This record gives sequence, C-alpha cells and structure tokens, in this order.
Amino acid sequence: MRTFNFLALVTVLFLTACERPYDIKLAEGMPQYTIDAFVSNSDSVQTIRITQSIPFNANPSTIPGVEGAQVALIDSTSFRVYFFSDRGKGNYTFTPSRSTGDTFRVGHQYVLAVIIGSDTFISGSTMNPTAPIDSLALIKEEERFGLKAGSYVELGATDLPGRGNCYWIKTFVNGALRGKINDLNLAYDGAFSPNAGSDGIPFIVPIRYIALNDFQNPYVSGDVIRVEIHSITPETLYFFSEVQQQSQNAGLFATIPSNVKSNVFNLNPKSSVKSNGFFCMSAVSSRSVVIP
Amino acid sequence: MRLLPLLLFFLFLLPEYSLNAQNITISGYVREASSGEEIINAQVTEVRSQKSVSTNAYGFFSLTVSAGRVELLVGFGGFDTKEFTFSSQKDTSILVELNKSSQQLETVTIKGRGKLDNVRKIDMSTNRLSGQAIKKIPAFLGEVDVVRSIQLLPGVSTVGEGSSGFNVRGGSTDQNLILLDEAPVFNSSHLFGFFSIFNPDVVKDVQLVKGGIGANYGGRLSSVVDVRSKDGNKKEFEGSGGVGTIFSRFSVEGPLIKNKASVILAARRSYIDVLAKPFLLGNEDLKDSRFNFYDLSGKMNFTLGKKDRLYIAGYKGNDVFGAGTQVKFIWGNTTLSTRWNHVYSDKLFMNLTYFYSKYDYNLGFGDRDNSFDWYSNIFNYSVKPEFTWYANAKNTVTFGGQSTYYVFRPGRATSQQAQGTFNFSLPDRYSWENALYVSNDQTLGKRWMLRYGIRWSSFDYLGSGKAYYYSEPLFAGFRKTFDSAVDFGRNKSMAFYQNWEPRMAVKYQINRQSSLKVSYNRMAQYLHLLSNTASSSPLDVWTPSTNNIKPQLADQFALGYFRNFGKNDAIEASAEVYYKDLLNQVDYIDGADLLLNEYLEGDLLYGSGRAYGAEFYVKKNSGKLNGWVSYTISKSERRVQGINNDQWFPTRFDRLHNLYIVASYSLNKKWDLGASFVFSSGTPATFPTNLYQVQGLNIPHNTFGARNNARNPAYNRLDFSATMKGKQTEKWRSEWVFGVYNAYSRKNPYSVYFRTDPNDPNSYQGVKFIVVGAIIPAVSYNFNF
Repeated sequence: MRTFNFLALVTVLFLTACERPYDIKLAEGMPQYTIDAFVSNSDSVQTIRITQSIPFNANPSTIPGVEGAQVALIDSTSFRVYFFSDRGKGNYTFTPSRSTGDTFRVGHQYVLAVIIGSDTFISGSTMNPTAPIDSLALIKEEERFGLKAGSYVELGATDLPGRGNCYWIKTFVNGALRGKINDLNLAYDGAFSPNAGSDGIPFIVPIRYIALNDFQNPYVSGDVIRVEIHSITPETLYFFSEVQQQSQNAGLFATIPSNVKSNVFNLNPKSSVKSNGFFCMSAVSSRSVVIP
Repeated sequence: MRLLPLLLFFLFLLPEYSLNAQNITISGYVREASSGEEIINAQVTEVRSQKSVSTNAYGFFSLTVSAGRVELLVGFGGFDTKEFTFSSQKDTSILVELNKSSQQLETVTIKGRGKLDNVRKIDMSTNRLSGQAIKKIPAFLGEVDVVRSIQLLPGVSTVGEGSSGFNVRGGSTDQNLILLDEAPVFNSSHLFGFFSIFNPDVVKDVQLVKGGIGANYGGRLSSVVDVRSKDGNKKEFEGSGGVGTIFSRFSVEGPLIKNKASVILAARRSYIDVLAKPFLLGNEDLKDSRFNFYDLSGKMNFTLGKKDRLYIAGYKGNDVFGAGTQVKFIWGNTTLSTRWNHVYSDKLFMNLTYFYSKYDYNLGFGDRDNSFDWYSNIFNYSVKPEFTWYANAKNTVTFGGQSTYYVFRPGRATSQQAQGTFNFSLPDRYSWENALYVSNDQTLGKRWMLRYGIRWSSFDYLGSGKAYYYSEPLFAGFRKTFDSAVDFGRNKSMAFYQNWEPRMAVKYQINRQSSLKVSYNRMAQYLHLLSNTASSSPLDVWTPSTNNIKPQLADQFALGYFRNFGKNDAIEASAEVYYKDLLNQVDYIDGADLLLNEYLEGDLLYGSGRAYGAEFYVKKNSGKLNGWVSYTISKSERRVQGINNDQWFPTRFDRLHNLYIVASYSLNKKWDLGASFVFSSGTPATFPTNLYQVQGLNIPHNTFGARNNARNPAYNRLDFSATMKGKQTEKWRSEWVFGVYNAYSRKNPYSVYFRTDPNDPNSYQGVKFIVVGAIIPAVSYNFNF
C-alpha cells in the first residue's frame, strides 16, 4: 500500500534512521523450476521460459535454462492444442498464424501443461479483453518542483465496463521495455485496487501519466514511445503486487517477507519437485508516438 | 456446573459472616498530608490481630477486627508510618494523612511491613510503579516515560526502537488492556513509540498485571496496564513543568474548594517544527511543514459529603505530521471518564465509571484539484459499576459489570480528481460488549490466601451492516473468495459470542519472608488490531469479532516463588514460570491487503499460539542504591494452517533472553545518578534462500516455505542519567537532568532485510535498518513551584 511508503518516509526523515549494507548468512535452498508463461493474442512469436532458481546471492545472469521439456498450451474452449518448440536455453516458442487460425483468442480458456522428466506441471488462465488505447498524447512540462522541463507522454484509455478488469501497461522506449520493478504499471478497474470501487473510468493519473514517464529524464526528440495495454487476470495483478511488496519491503512498517504465490502446480502434489512462476493469457492493445 | 464457583464462594463466606458478632469495622481513606492526594495501595495493619489490608485505587480501605483496643499502623513507601491506638466498640471511619519521609534514606524500621507486600499479598505477575519510581529511570532524550519504564519489567519486551506498543509474556501488542483512569487507550504511543501518551507529571500510579488477572478486568488476553492520574492538590496551588530537548511540559494543580475539590491541568508539546521553521522558510514546498505531538490532560474531583466522591478526567492528544500543504497525517486519542465513588457502609464501596474513548487518524495528500483524504476511527461508550464488599475479616468480595458500545469506522476515504470525486469508504461497524463478574479474596488460616472469581463476557456484532461469507480456498493460506453478503438491519445481531472466564489465585505463606503463589486465568478478547507489518503502525485498524473473526481466547497458568531478604527485608525477589495457551490468533495470507478492503476477512487466517517462560526479578527499594535486575527467558510461538508448512513458528516478537538492569544512586544532596542496561536476543526474521526470474523481475524465494527461520542480531544498550538539584526553596524547586541514551553508540538493527540495490535496481542487497544508531545526549530542566 502506498501509504506505508509514505509512513516509512516520514519515519526516516524524522528519526534519521538509516540503512547500512549488511552481510547476511543465508540458509542453502534447493533449485526449483520456474515457469514464466505470459502469452498474448499478438501475431508475434510467443515465448515461454523455463529456468531454474539459483542461490539468492548468486548473479541473476547465471540463471540456467531448462532444456528438453515438453510445453503445450491447450485451448479448452475450442479444444485445440498448441505445442511450443524447444529453442534451447530454456526458451520455448510458438508462432501464431492467422491463415491457419492458430491464434490465441479473447474469451477463451487455456490450460498450460509442462512436462519435465517425470513431473507434469499445469496451470490455467482465461484471456480477458483489454482496454483500447484512444490516444497517446505528448505533454510539454515546464520546470517545477520534482520535475524537469521537457516532453512526456500521457495515455488515453478507459477501463472496460464491469468489475474486475485488470491491466498491465508496458512502456517501450525505442523498442526497449521499461522493465524494472519500479516501472511495473498495473491497473484494477482503472485504479490501483478493487478497494477503489472504480469501474469504467479513464485510467487514473498515476497510471496514465506518472508511471509512463521518468520526470528526471524527459523523452528526447526522435524517441519512439510505444505503450501496450495487456489484459491480465486479477490473480496476475496480485502476483505482481506481491513481487513489488517483496522487493520494496523495508523500514519500520515492512511486512513479513513471504514467498510469492505461483499459479503453476505439479500434477502430483506429493512430488518433491516444485515449481514457481506464473501463467497468464493477455489480449494486447498498442499505440506508438514519436517525440518531435 | 457453571454455578459451582458461586456456590463454593457462599459456602466459604457464610459461616464466617454469622459467627463474628463482636467485630467492628474500621474504614476510611489514606492520603498525602501535603497535597491531600489519595494514596493507592497504602498498607493498613491492625497489630494485635495481624490483619492487614491495602487501600484501593481511590485510597479507600475497610478492615474488620475484634472490638476493643485497636492498634493501627498505616504505611506507604517513601512516607512515615503512622500509628493509632484507640478503643472502640463500634464501626469507625477515619481519615489518615501520611507525611513524606523527611530523609530519603529510610533507616527507620517500617512497622507497616509495607516492604513485604510482594510476599504477603496474593497478587502475582504484577508490577507497580509510582510516578516517583518512573522518574528515577534514565530516559530517552531526558523525558521519563510510563510505557518505556514498563518495557524494563520482567516478561515485557518490544520488537525494537520505534515500535509502538509492547509485548507481554509472548502476547501481541493489541493484547494489552491499557487504561487511563479506567478508559481504554487504543494507541499508547507518540512518535512511533518513542514516547507514550501519558504525561508523567500527572501519573500517580501504574500497575502492570501479566498473570493472575482479576475478574474485574477483561477484554484483552495478555496484560492490564492500569494508569491512574493524580487528583490534584486539595490544599494549595502548585505547578510543575520542564523544558527538554524534544518537548516541554507544564502542569498546574490546586484546590477548587479547600480539602473538598481540586483540579489538575497538564499539557505537553513537542517543538521540533518550531525549531525547524527558520530553516524551512526559504523553501516554498516545506515552509508549512508540521512535525509535532501534544497532549492535554485534566482532572477534577469533588468530595460530596462523607460518602460520595466524583472524579472527571479527560485526555486529548495528537501526533501531527505534515509536509508542506501537500501531505498531512494526524492521529490521536481522546478519553473522558467520570467516576462516582459511594460508600454505602463501612463495608460496601462502590465505584461507577462512565467513559468515552476514541482513537482516530486522518491521512491526506494532494491539493484542491487532486487529492486523497482518509479518515478512520474507533470509539466506544461504556458504563462500569464495581462494588467491593469487605464482607468480614477473611473475605473481600468484588462484583460488578461492564457494558460497552463500540463504533468502528474502518475508513472514510475520498479521492478528488478532475473526473470527479471517488468515494471508497467502508461502512461503519457496530458492536456491544457486556460483562458480569464476581470474585472473592479469602484468607484461610495464617498461611493460605485464595482468590477465585468468574467473569461472564459477551459480544454482539450488530447491524446495520453486511455479514460477508467466503468460500474456503483449495489450499490453506490462500485468499478466500467472496461468496455472498447478507444485509442486517439496525441493531440486529450479526454474530454473538459469550465466554465464561474463570480466574483463580492461591498463595501459601512459607514463612515471614517467603511465599509460593499459583494462578490461572482465562481471558477473552473481542477486538483485534489488524497489522501485518514489523511494527504496528498508527494506520492499523481495530476490528470487532464478526461472523468470520472469532474472539481470541487465552488460558494462562503461572507459578511463583517470592522472597525478601536483607536488612529490613529491603530486597525483594521473585521467580515465576508461566504457560499461556492462545486460541483464534489472527494472521494474514501473504500479500494481504488490510486497508480500505471491503473483503478484508478473506485475507485473514486463524491459528493458535503458545507462550512460556521464566522470569527472575530482584529489586531494591531503599537506601542510596535503588533499582532492579530483571531476566526473562521465554518462547512465543504460533501455528497457522497455510503458514510455515503448518508447523509452529516463532512470533515476530519472540526473544529468548531479556535482561534489564536499572539502577539509581543518590550521590549526595545535590546529585542523583541513574543507569540502565538492556540486552535482548534478536527478533526472528524471514530470509530467502533462492532467486528466480519472471518477466525479467528477480523474485526472492525460500524453498522451505519457512516463516521466521532466521534471527536478527541481538539488541543491547546502555543509558545514563544525572540529576542535579538546583534551587530548593519553599517557592521554587528545580533540577537539571542530563542524559545519555545508547552510551556506547551501538548500531542496533531494528530489522535486517534485502532491498533492491540502488546501483542495480534488478538485484538485491542485504541491509540492516537502524532506528537509533548514535549516542544521543539530552538535557532538560524541570521545575516545581
């Protein structure tokens, strides 16, 4: 909850509390599989990644891919099965084709099945419709407190009617995703969470404007900004909120660290082989703008 | 079966009552000679019969002895003992005034045997601190504090600096019933726990009860902190105050009608913002910043004839934080209590309390065009009659009841935007708590004392409102999904609970200097403070028991050995062991959303708890060197389906060892020195073992699914203080207090965790979070006129 960050700020300001780097001795865990399956209805190549977890203090670039797995996506509405091919280094891909009708569709339900050795992992997701992008506007800001003068973008989009529509808004700058943990931009019915009780509203300012820009580094002339709205399931939104909470868990009012919950399960609950990760089917809307 | 205790009670009582026809009752009040302030817990002893009684919270006592010659001794620590000898054939009421001892070094024999109180009384697991005693403990920033003093007693611990509240015998912070003149206080902290809301200038007496809790108290599982404020000088006007590093205090008291009515008013305010103002003037954004807290206390009392007294006490305090005009954050308590004492006869005393208590907070961001405003509170009204019947020389019966109506306002929140106003308020909740109790203190022969009582409590979760129903998730520990809601009309019962709470204590006097005590109590708690953060925050929401949230229950057994030794029995010592079994403890699913969440109950888990330990306490009350050593070894654990693989895990506030040493030394007439030392084992922490990636994000993971599987480093700290007496005249007395907090500048970590590396936001870095990492000197000036 954002209020806690504020509270932590006040505490820190007031008590001049401090954080010091500290070498923590950690218990040794066991490597587990990670299934990272975010599949969309776009025509581009869809990739599912299967990797293994590494010791916490190891370098993330050393995360090993898992090869030799069998990956299938089953459309349980139309009973079609799509097999993903092993491309090495843990990447499994599928290329949709409009001509053959092999595409992923809004409103359909999907089951993910992954077989690694003698273990089968399954998960399910519905592909929900996404909010269309009405506009991607350029905003010129003057220098003011906490903000540098320059060009920024603002997304014009309205939450779809009905409660429980969740979105992940991704911003790409010259083709590169702003993909840091602090860049995660999630919407629940156009606001942050179901508690807002909102529905069918234009995305609120923090989502449509603040999260799309770095106010210390305005966009420069020639930059191509692309924004995508991915529909996600509410479980996926909670998954990302948990990831956020775990990574920003600091200060007096930190919550107790806990494992982020996965929606991928081993078919044999008694197996000692466990998995993490998440499966979500998304519909995507997209729009680009070039900074003049 | 339920009536058995009552039956037993009358069986014990009646024979004694009818046999002693030629007994007389001596009753009355004990008070300070100089101010007329009633003395709580003064010892009244009849020497010939060796019968003894303590004054109650209003300074009243009643003692039944044989008619004829009566030799009465009345004593209280720090006061000269008074002797009365008279002959009487009928009930007599007296007013005793005690004078403060002329010298602090009490070499005179304490004839009232007050020093053996802890051995001879049936109370166990109980600590008492007078306003005077609290002032001797070195204090943070030179400001003495009630709650921080309590935190140095056996069985009490905290999760660290900057944590609101405290933990008693392995209980969570919301399990302490904190009473200010009988009104409950829902958040006892100023400034995130660095100070408590009690102004030490008006505190008369503080009692902490951790076990063997009497039937007159209820509603919380782990302890009772009963704070009584001063009544105000009945004889002459006086004032006192102080100017300190962080805040200033001022209080004034005096008679409204000499010896009959008095008043006391006190105020405190911190002034960091005042001092900071000049530095912020140039900054447009911060010049309106506010950082302060204040509190106001007031009390009036009236003696209405010989049999009636009336007390009206009020408290209002707030913490105010604001950054510019953009952000505001205010929280505070308000209490108002009215008490009426009536002496029906020499043997029957009544106190009727009516109180109102409120805790509220308000959080707001933004300006007129774009703003967010959130208000939340809990308030209650209560009436509480209590009777003490001094039935005969061997039995004292306490009976009464309490009825409390609560209103919970979990959140009234609005957001103002260009598109309009969004309201995401949650509906108010209502409930009604009731209790009836009866308890008897009985003396059996020379060695045995018994206390047995029962409390019946009930809780009604009332409409108007919605009762929510949820379906259980496939796996424990996951969010329960909302199923349906049923609307209830105004004052319709949505859930009803009742509990019988037996309370027992037994004392066996081994010899004059030592005794053995054992106690059992069952407690029920119907209110819950929802908090899943390391330290409870001012934003945490109190919630009633509902159709989903069951009342918390605890059973506690305690056994203690009490012994005094040394010259004049001046050193008191005790060793106690306890075991506490807790039911329906509220816990949270991972990633729980507790604020402004209509479906909050879907995020709650329920489990059981157990806490056990041993406490050792040695205290010296007189002489040049005063103080105590307290050592506690304890465990506090919890088991919840869906957490830690359904196995027991240590609670957030579990600390194996707690050692506290407090000493004060009076060097000469001018200087008093004080020191305190704290050592506590580290609190538990949960650390990851592994790391994995989803969508390019690094996610920490513990492959064992463990909770609290590691420990933070231990905590230790040494503080000093020195008090220099200034001018001491009839009209003006003053002192300077110099203090050093955290004398060897230890960087005690509040917690250890991982944060995203500022240089590489996609990887983690281990850090320790230190709240006070430096030596903190302070000076304050106190005066009295």
